[in-house]
Amino acid sequence: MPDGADDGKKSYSMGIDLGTTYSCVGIFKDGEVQIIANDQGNRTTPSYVAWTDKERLLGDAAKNQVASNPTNTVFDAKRLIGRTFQDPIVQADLKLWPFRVVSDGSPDDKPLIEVMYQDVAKKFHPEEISSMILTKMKLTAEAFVGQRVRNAVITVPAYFNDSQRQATKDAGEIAGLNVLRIVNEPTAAAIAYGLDTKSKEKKTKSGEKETNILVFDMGGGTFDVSILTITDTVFEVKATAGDPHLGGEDFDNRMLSYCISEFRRKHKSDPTRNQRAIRRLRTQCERAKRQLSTQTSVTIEVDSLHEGQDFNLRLSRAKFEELCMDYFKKAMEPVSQCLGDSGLPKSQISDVVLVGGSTRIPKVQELISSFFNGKQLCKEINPDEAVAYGAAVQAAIVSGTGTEEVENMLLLDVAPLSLGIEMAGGMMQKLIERNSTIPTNKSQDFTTAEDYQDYVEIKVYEGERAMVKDNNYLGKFVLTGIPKTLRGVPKIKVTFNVDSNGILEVTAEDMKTHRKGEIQITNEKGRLSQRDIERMLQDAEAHKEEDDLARGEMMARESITVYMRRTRKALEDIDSEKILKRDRERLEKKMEEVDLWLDEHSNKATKEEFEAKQRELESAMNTIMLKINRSESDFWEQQAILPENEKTIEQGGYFLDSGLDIRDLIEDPD
Amino acid sequence: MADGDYYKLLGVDPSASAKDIGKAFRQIARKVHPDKLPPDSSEAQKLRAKQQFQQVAKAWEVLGDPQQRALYDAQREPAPQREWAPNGSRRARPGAAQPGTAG
Repeated sequence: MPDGADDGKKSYSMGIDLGTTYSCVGIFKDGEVQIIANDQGNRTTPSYVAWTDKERLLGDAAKNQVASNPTNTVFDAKRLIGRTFQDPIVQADLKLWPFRVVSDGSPDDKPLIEVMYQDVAKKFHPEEISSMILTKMKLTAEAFVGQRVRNAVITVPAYFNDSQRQATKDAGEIAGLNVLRIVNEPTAAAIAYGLDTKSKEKKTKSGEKETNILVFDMGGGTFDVSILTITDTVFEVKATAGDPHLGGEDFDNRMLSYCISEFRRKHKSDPTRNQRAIRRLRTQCERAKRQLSTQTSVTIEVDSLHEGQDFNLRLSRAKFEELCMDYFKKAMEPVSQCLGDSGLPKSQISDVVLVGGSTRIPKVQELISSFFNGKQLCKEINPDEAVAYGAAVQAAIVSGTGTEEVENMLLLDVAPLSLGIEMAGGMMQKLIERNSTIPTNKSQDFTTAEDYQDYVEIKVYEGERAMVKDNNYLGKFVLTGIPKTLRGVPKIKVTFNVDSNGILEVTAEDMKTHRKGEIQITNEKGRLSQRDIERMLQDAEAHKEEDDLARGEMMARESITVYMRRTRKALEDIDSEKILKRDRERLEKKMEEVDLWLDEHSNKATKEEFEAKQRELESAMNTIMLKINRSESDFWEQQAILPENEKTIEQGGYFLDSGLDIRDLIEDPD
Repeated sequence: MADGDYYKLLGVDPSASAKDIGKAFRQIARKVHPDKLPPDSSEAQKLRAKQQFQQVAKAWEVLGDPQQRALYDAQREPAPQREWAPNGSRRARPGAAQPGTAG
């Protein structure tokens, strides 16, 4: 099926903020960015996927049933993506997740998430889980514009490394998307800020105005700081820093451990192994954390949490701050590092822009503000939507589907980490320095150390430390096919390219022969192979049919529930004089019957069955409504409905099809 | 790759202020950046745009940083220095030394 500009229709490109806990999608349409609400009416969608006996659930539907189905409800895929199973961060997170994560057993040691679906254990790569969330966001966008949308800009934390970026891009491909660009979240937020301030300023005088801003982006799972210089329409990132594993969920976990220890103290029993209890408690902790941003104390309450014991705890904002203070302080380190890297003094930062839900925490705001000597913080932009907003703008820029104003804009981003290679003695030789404007490249000549050596192995690392062992190993590149000769004679130029997505590519050229094709590079970056991606793409498409089927049923179920609700409301609103008591009772009985049927069949019924039930209800309702409306019109139609126990003329009775009693019309012959 | 003269690349005078250099860079970047190409451009066009952009970005990276600019200016100055004449080996920067065989 051809995609894109079919039927001469304008094709759209979307921007997706793929968050650890929530995701958001925006699209540039009719000259402005629209943040799109999902089928539940929410402008952000939980980054959750769940498997029930019957179907796969995405977003709100998945998150809403988490307490009853904890081991098959997957979230936090962003904390796994692009990492190995043995990664200490993964090992620490494992203990907190109710779902199972295992190693794939290959030398790459990739993590796999295991769930039970229709009594079969299924394993998924984090990329696949993310692709499902991306699919959900895509469907949301498609429902809004009423056509297929394939082109997408996906955002990642600025401090995401090469593997994490690559894996996110792969997730997009598995979702069947054409990934236009991987964009850094704080950079995207800066666009939202830039457009917002620009629209407010009444055309500044002539000449361009230069503004330096710092974006502080703390979300559910990751934390970034970026400093940008905005000049008219050019957004230039000067420096970026951050922590790819710091955010709201860490605060939830702190509260959770505190609550568990309190419960243990009070009731002398340990709920840790009770998945359902932990999930319920976690949900309440998250809610309490949000409330503590506006109130100074909250009560966390869970009825019958564990072994029949209720949980009840009063938590003050001060206590919450105490529990998380080390995290809050840790967040200030990247701020000073970023400032240092940018070469700008604090006084040159004209605005500090807050993005991400965790920046609502008063203590976090207080610490940033005092870091900037009591500076007023910019809270003008929506912290939950700014990233998707900016991504949608970047999608319009890159695909050339924006307005002139937008297409005039230019984003200049940087590589967050230095890239280098291992030298003799385990030293790191940096080829690309952190904060280099991307796309960028650097070449290096290599030769052989032994006579007749025909290959060279190059190990690539990212990070800032002097020794490679302290940095992150990205993979190795093996050059083969080097002409056999004496050592030191071959000259092979290897070029490291960091593309606009911040992803590394390597090319090599034999400088003696200038034949590029001669040198083979084996790329072992621990990423999915193209074959893996294709297989997953097919799996995802197979799943789509099941989903479509389930969606049909879900929609039919939703439709009848909505109809019931409306009918009930209508029944309440109807003047009691206008409706016969008998009719009212009859309808109420019918509704009760449908209610019962729904209770019993809601999980099993097919789309057709739901629709049939709804039709039954509709016809009962229409009959009554017709009567009511008639009673308001004229006498002739007053009795348009056949009363009970009466028959039409054809059936041997006295009524016309219209419901008129002929006896009323005929004068007594006598 | 010969870097060429950074000032010439950005079309500014060696005495230009940092602000003017920045302005020049942004103006050129807006023209040559690969993102500014029409979406249906050929791979060759994209590659050329990328190379062009990287050249001006490199120039701006050096000239936009006071320290690096001072160093560059000192190097650039054709002052009567001993190293500056015969073999041109001065251009072989220490960073380009062969890393030997890793692994």
